[in-house]
Amino acid sequence: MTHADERIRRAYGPVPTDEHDRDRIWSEVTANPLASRPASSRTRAPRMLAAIAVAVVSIVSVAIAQPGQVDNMIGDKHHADRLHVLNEPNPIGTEGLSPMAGHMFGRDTDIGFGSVDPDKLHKVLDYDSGRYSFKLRSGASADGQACLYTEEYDDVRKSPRSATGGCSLSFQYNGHVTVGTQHDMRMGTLVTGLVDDEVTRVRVKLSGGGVSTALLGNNGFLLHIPDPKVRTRGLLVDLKSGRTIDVTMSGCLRSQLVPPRRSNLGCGFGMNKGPHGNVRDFLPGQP
Amino acid sequence: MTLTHQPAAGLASDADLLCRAADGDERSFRTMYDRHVGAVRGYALGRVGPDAADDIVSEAFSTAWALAARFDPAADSARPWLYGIATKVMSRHRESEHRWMQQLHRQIDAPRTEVVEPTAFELDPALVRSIARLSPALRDTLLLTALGELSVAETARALGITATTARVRLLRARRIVRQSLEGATS
Repeated sequence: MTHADERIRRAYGPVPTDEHDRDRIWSEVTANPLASRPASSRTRAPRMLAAIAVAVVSIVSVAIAQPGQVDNMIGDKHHADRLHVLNEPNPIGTEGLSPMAGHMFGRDTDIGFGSVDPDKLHKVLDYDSGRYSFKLRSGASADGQACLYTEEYDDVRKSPRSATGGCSLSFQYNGHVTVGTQHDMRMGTLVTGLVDDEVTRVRVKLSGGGVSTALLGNNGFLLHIPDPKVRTRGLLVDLKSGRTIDVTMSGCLRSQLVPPRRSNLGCGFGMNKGPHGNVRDFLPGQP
Repeated sequence: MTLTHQPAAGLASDADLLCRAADGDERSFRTMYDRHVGAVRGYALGRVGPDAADDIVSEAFSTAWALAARFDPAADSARPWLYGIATKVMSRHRESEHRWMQQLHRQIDAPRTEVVEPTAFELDPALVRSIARLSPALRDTLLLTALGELSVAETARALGITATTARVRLLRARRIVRQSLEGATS
């Protein structure tokens, strides 16, 4: 124990709490709905206990605290409820990823991408196109965002040619999908994103009117478009309910795409951060 | 007729009490609460001040009751576990912590002639300044380790972070606090 520890223990240590204070706080403890548990709870199946624990962790931000305006706006859905992969018990962690991943996560921050615990990453999918291969992993940030990490390899380098990531609050706003693109003149365009449990198929609308179906993994998707001249226009996201959501995407600027052989600079379009402002629902078969 | 021996609630271990509490025994949880409420309250008082401390204490114990079945039966005391829960609860009250730190700084900086509101918190001005220099993540790690006398692995488990992250945070926090305290002395 250090000298500072001793001072901390003096300053933050136990304080005398008389009977009146103890009873007053106790009445608040028992009044909290979290504290009321049925007597038979320990005899339930372990799966039930795990579900309760997950539920407690998930709703702690809403149920324990006094609901504020932000909580009301977000509603009672935590992103982790919407992506079953984030609740799966056996995360893959950084297994199979480059050391770069270790530098990007577990940073000294309570918010955003850096706060994702690298040991709790889940595999979304791995994809190998021959010349390029991609590894997608998902994780939850400390402030409750769903985050996606992507490593991109080519057939030359052993280390990834790029590692990118981002988080999104979309799922808390009852969105079903987040999407981001990366583009450079060699690799072409990579479209990746996370989807919630309601999504059954993701198609990418391309310049020229074509549509390509993305590879769907564990609560996420990927589409590699090798032709650098092809641009992305949007997504068609099919849901279990039979609805299809049409998401318009912006993307790289024209000037970043046009000059072949003159620039190897990449450009990206980050994951959408809020509700889709340009989403419209339409019936299957409708243009 | 079968006779079973069960120790009185007052003598039972925290693990026993929490085991019974998980079965719905309110008296057992109350006994455990009485043992540790002063400690959790002292921690909360130091971090968020008297205005918000009791809310955090009640939330922490409500959460502990809900999670009683998950308490490690091999653990000697529930206190480190309760500190961990309280830390998690406090992470949702950063505003209160920030306000309390500002109030402490005003109190430290006030001229000696000025009458300031007394607090239950034992004021250690140099320590207050040192702790204020830490980010919330570093502060959580250091205070939890120091108060709960936890190992790095236990602190990591309590905060839901990796042992490596906890170790790095602890080293950084200790360095910042040591430098700050040495600066205050010199």
